[in-house]
Amino acid sequence: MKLASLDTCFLIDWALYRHRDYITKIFDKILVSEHVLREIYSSKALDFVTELLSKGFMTLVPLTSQEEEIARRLITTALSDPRIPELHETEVYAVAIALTYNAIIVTENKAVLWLKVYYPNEIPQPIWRSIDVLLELVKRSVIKVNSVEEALKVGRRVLYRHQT
Amino acid sequence: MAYPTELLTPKDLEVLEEWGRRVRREKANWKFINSLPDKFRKALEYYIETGDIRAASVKFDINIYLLNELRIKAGIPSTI
Amino acid sequence: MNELSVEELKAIEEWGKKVRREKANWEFIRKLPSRLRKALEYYIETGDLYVASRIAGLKIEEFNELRIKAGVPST
Repeated sequence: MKLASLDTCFLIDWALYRHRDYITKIFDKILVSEHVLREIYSSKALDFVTELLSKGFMTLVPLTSQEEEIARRLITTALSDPRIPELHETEVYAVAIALTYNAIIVTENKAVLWLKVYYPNEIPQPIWRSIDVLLELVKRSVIKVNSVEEALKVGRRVLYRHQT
Repeated sequence: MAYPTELLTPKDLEVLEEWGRRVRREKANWKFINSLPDKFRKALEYYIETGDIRAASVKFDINIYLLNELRIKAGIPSTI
Repeated sequence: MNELSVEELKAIEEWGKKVRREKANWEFIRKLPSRLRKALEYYIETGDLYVASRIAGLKIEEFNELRIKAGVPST
């Protein structure tokens, strides 16, 4: 089962994408914490999340002491390295959920990305940004392109203009 | 510039950081940004410099969705 | 007591959804702020009080009061 753990930093832009539902063609289940739900402000994101929840594509994952322990460890690592931006709870719990349930972390958060690159052993799970999700959709022919260069152009156009 | 995330190295992050800051500065609609109330202007300027929308939303106590809407209105691309 | 089969559970779920949809005060629901409206719509579709309360940003008890005000039966 292919699982994704999503955070707000990804959702704020992805929810605006015309084909946002394509993400369900890649993952069997999307996991979110209560923190992600709590923060939702835009009606588009709310529509998107409630639709996924009611169709069973998205699951609200309660946090246990296991995720709290993972979160504590990651925050400690981030704090000890001035190169790593500050980790905040929504994103750190998304990573903790991914580690617990062996999910792909889907985020655009700078701190998570920096932590992954500098401390890959702390976050063995893959991290996907929007560009990786789009490239996967191209690989699966959900989005049709003629070449890798065109795929990257599609990715940039979607990400930068929210109009595709 | 777009990059499959799994291939990123620390050196790539440094390059992306500089490139991202340059692109955000260049594409930003400064007229719009300068017309905003102080708090929102500073938050966007912070985002332009750092590329970290979460940090900007926390530092200036602005809902991250609202800040993202402002970012889009200000023409600032979402980059890492 | 006999355990319910999967088909029986599905039938109960469908019945619950139908009853919630029919009994809901849609006029009241439509006038609510979008977050509360979406949470009630979610509850009507799924019967999941906990997740609905998280969508609404309310405590379960608070959301339950809203459910009652909206005329949505607990099924």
